[in-house]
Amino acid sequence: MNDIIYMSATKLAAAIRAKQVSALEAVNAYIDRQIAVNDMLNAVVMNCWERARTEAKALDAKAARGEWVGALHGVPMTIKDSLDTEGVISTGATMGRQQYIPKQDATVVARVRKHGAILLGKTNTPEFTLGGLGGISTASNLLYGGSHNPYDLSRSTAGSSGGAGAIVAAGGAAFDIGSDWGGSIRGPSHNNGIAGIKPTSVRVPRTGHIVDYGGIFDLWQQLGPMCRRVEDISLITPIISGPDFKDASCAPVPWADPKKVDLRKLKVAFADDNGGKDRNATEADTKAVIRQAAKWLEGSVASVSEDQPKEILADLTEARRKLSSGDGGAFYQRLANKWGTKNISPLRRDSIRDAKPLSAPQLAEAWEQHDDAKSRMLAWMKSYDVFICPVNAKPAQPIDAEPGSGSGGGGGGAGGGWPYTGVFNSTGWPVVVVRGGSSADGRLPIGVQVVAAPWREDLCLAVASYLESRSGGWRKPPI
Amino acid sequence: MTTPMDFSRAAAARPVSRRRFMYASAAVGTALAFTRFAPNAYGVVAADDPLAMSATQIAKMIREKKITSVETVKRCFARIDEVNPKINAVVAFCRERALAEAAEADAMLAAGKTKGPLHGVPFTVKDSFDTAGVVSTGGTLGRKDYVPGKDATVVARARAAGAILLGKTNTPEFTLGGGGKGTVNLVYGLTKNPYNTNYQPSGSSGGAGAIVAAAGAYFDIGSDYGGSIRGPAFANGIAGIKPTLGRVPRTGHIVGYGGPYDTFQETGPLARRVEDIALLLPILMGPDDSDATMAPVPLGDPAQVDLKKLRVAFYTTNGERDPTPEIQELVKTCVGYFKKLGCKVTEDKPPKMKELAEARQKFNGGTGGDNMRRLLKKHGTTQASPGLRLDGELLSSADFTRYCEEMDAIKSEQLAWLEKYDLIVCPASQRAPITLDYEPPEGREASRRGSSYTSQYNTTGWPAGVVRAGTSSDAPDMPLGIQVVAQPWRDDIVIAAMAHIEKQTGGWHQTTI
Repeated sequence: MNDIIYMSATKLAAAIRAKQVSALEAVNAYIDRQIAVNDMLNAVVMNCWERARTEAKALDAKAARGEWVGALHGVPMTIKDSLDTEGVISTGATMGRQQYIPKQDATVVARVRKHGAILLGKTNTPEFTLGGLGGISTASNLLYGGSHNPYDLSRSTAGSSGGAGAIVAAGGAAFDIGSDWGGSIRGPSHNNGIAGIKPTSVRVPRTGHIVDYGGIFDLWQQLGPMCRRVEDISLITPIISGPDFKDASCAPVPWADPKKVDLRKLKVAFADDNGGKDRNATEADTKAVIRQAAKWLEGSVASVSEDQPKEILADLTEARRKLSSGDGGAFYQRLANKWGTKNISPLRRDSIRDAKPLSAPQLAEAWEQHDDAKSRMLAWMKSYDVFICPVNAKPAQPIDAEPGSGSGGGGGGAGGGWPYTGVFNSTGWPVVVVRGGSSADGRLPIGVQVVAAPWREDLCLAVASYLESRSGGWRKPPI
Repeated sequence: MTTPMDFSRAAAARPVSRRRFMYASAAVGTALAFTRFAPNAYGVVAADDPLAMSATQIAKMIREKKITSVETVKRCFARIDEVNPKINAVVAFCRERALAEAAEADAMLAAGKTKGPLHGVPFTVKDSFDTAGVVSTGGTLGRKDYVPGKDATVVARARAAGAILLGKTNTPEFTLGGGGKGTVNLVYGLTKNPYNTNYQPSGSSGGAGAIVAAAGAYFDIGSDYGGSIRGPAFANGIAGIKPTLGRVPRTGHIVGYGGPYDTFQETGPLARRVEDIALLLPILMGPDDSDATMAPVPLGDPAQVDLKKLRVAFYTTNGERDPTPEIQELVKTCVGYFKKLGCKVTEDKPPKMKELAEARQKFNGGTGGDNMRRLLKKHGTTQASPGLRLDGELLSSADFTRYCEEMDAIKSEQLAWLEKYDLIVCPASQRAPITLDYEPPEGREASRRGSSYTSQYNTTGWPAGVVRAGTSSDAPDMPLGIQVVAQPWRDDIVIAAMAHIEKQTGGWHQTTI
């Protein structure tokens, strides 16, 4: 059984196709694993196990007739609770949706199900993927509470796709689909030692996500798969990509095959430090993982240089900060109103109460500054194919840590430094995270961000895959 | 019947007597015995004069050494010099450089080399684009002597493909300050329509539209924030396309990439013939390491579009402001060209166009003109055009983000509607081209309504083209264009549909000035 739950989605799909494993066996193995670990993790917050078994049987019957519905035939998955799932409660972690059952799958969910993936349940996330509970530093909300890290139950899963990160790492799902507005796929991939991708902005439709297409932050948000192995990202991302006639930002840009990338031609830049100070300072073990990654690449790529566009990143960070709080959280309040939520996430309630909104002219100016920095980033990236840096300043922190500690992921915050993940939501560039090593004591995973210019997921994946081959990538958690 | 579409001009040609040229010698530098602007029944420029040819045709002639680039450039300058005093379309020149480049192009050809598909073809560029070494004002006084060090991306691409820049074409301040007068600014004054100089060439690519229609340049490159390529294509009886948002970079345009209104603006070619749009778009498009909105989506081949399979929607009114009867009739006539092919044709229109226009207007004016004031400051302009809107209802930031969300929600609804159709045929304008003394109604509301037929597709970002499809009775002898629109990234379908209409109607006519 261990074989099944720890296989990559790619290998599991192949095993099912080779009839070494049935879809029902796979589904049952993953359900058993969820039963064994979820009390500890609180990662899966809603399940649809009976439907999953029924679907598995139907897929096995099809397989017996030689019919294969797609590349994920029989592969069990979970889905972040911010995505609509037809027939299964989808709260988006907001009180107003505690009993909400969508009639339609989110586009990405429909696409993987069409390819034969089987939904086992929904994974925990903060309200609207953006909220949180004061004093609890992990993926948490008023409906389902907080999630726990499978490598150390007292530590954070990170957010917002924290439930997804924890359950995939623990072998409770072959993959999950998360969303990433400031690091919400990459933070949990880092904390839970798995592989995740934030694809290029506008590659994957957000239709059916609780914060969907539209509004001033539209281009920051992308959806992407979270998996144990990099090969699964290459399998699943093209399946969920492409316009759906609802998400009006989505563009049909062709997907390049990562296998065709010639590593020897790549120019790689890396940075092990974002300039954060004090509690935001990047820790030595994190730096060491990045330096090791750079060293592994040295012999295999055209060039490796230590370089980062510090000034542009500082400008981008400042403009992003102004923009994200610019309307005083009015957009968040409107979301709450839309879903009839009276009790909004405590963290957000406080930030809306204390907000000092910009004027519309200031907001427009911040928007221009933000985009100007994006443009300069593009020019900087002309010199490189891939940029490598930490995902966060440190590995997973205790759930009861002081709020804001370990930031430098999505936020920025006190202590300065550019936020490792958020700036790439602003640029819209593709980023793949893969486990590159461990904390000094060997217990906690440390991920590496592999960043490329827009639409070059193939470069991110080729390099991430190489790093995975050197580091071993995902490892079994102790639970 | 007609599959796939056919770009041959034969069927489209107007019944003018075609004098064939005798290309006595193909040798470089041979003076060809063209009669300059010999009159024919339709105007001063003869149909078989190289000046009246498409960019595609002249490029072929130059490649085949039937005419030299130098000769072509000289003829264009002569034509500009003849018409420009009447229409004020070209406002800055780079004559010596153009002639030197043309000589170089001819020498290259003699050595058996070409720079690209536009080798030796003369063009002009809207003055809102930066052109290296050539004054680029963007219609604003603070830049009246500004000489950029670098070409805008689209200019650089056209030049790299061999095209030769003749000069710059007039545009209102920042392309936005026309104020109902079409194309006018405080630097260069007013541009007039080459079919009747009492009329506006529309704006903001009005200089481009006028000089291309008057056969002074083979093509121009414009920008379109609310209809600024399509309006001039309509009023000057030529072809123009606003490509899908994200296809053609805005780098080096006076209002470039970025900011809240980024998604409204596209850049694209204007030319007399649709085949030129098909030639030019692939040359201009694609990401450029500066404009971060660009996506490298492949462009389908318009010639491969199977027109008879298109699901066509049409509307004669957007429900807010009825076009004149002749405009409505023109839509029906053009729809007939697709019916005849066997297309499934439905009278239908995108939902909530009025609501979208209102949200756009609120959002667009939401800074109370602050973004315009900052632009003026940036370029050191102290005296703004009277037509530049520095007003607007200042919103709170909460309302500013709300209108953005409302706009996007309707965009999504309209996109869902568009899944049913491949092509929309609709008015490009509410009425025939207007006269220079036309007094625009006051206020933002009125100015929004004035461009609502085109700006609808800036807000959605869908590809939209305009091609001449008839002649006005309301404004005698003035051209009338039709607008065709397709799903995002299906610029190939827009071009194919434009070509089909051009083939039925003849498209561009020669001007009489």
